[in-house]
Amino acid sequence: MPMIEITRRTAIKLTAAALVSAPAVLRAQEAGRVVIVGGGFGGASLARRLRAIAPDISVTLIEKQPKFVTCPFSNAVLGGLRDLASISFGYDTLIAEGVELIAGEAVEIDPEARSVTLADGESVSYDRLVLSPGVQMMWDTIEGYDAAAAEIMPHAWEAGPQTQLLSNQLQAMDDGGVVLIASPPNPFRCPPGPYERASLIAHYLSTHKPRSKILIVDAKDSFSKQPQFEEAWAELYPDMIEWIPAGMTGRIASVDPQAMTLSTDFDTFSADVANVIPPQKAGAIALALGLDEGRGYCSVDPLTFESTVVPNIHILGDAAIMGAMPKSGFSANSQAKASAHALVALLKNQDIADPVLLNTCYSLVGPDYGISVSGAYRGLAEIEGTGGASPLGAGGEMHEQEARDAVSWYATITREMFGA
Amino acid sequence: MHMKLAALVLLACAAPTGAFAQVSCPVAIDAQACSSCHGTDDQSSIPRLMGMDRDAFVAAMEAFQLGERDSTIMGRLAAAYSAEDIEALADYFAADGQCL
Repeated sequence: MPMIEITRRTAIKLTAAALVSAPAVLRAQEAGRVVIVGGGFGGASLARRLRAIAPDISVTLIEKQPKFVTCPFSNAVLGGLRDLASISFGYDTLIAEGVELIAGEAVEIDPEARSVTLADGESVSYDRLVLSPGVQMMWDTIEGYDAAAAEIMPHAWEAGPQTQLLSNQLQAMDDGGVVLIASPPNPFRCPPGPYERASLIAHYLSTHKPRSKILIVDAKDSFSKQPQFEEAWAELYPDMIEWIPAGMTGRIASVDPQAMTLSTDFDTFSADVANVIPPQKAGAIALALGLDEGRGYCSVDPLTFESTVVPNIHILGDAAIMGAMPKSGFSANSQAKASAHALVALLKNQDIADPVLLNTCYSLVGPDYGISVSGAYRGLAEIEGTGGASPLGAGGEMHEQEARDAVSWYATITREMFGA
Repeated sequence: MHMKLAALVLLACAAPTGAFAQVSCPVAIDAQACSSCHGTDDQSSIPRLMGMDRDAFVAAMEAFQLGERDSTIMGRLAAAYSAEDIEALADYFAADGQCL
């Protein structure tokens, strides 16, 4: 290979440039600064991926909680298969890899100054801001259901203390009790989640309190993997789970936490344990600046995840409108990896790729019975022939394999996000 | 001579590292989507792809596409990839995640 000839003058210029810029290179990572809000499946995945592929880009992660508790496998806690510690992850590996972690809450964005302000008044400047805040519960869309009511009738749709509360209530319940699950309207985080929850609570009850019942009062008339769930319920938990669709009972109208009742247009249900999963919208910071255009979720360019409303702000995961992709941790992780490359490309004026995005939602119906729904996506559309759920009548071996895959997937993706 | 050396050092600093090179390697962006299930080490019960034999990878993906191999989800997800994509992924995994 020929040696590259450099004229004396060019060399001097290069050397001079190096001398001038060297301290800057040492001090700051010069290719740009990415600030990420939210350290979950979107944010943590993105932070690690960016550090791996572009060490010259500085990465700051703003997260208010010291540990992230995953919604995936939080239903296994309710089913008595795991404890909360086994689904909780800290940020030590990210910090060791050079991610600057700021423990705080982002409350305001100045898109002109390109800075984000924290609750304590500190402000952090960015070249590109990525919001991955997940969802928030929409209080009072069900009359009487607010943050205080959730301390009596937990939603447990953000994993952590809410999960523990619901778990404690299930364990304290007498045999023969009624567990009510109110399932939310679309779109919401983790479409099969309420039904996996019913399944694993049924596993716990059938083991410990077999005379108990589970009532799912649904804001919808159908749900994700419905035939697969119903097939499994008939086999594993006959007569324990009753599903009441909106078409039968009407709108979920109100709750009375003192009386432990939930009322729809046509009925009032009494419960011993009530898990009320309310309607949801994007986390608060993603609703700043009209990023959601009043829709509750944010429209983005599907290749770069940049907001279609405000430039230099990107939105990932549950908070984003990503067409056919469901709101899942898997989706957020897949989007995060693609966005890492898009951010590098934008900061370095390279071509933007159009990669395949993936989602698979495993659900455990029992400890050894798994089902799945999956799809591959390009842009906002599902790629033809890739979507679908586990076949019906597949038999025990297939479901055992899917249960093993679910456990393996969870171990792998959380290791990918948070390190060993 | 010293000048030339200084210039070479500068060039070396400016040259892309292995990780950086992946940015301009589209197959790497597709391949990373696989790792949330398949992992990059041997701890997963779902088969590892990194270091997989090139022909075995192509044969497996083709069998998934044709429905000739039993699977839970790969029979469907394999439909996302063209023959060209599969070749590129096969090369990438066979080379332990290096872009050729």
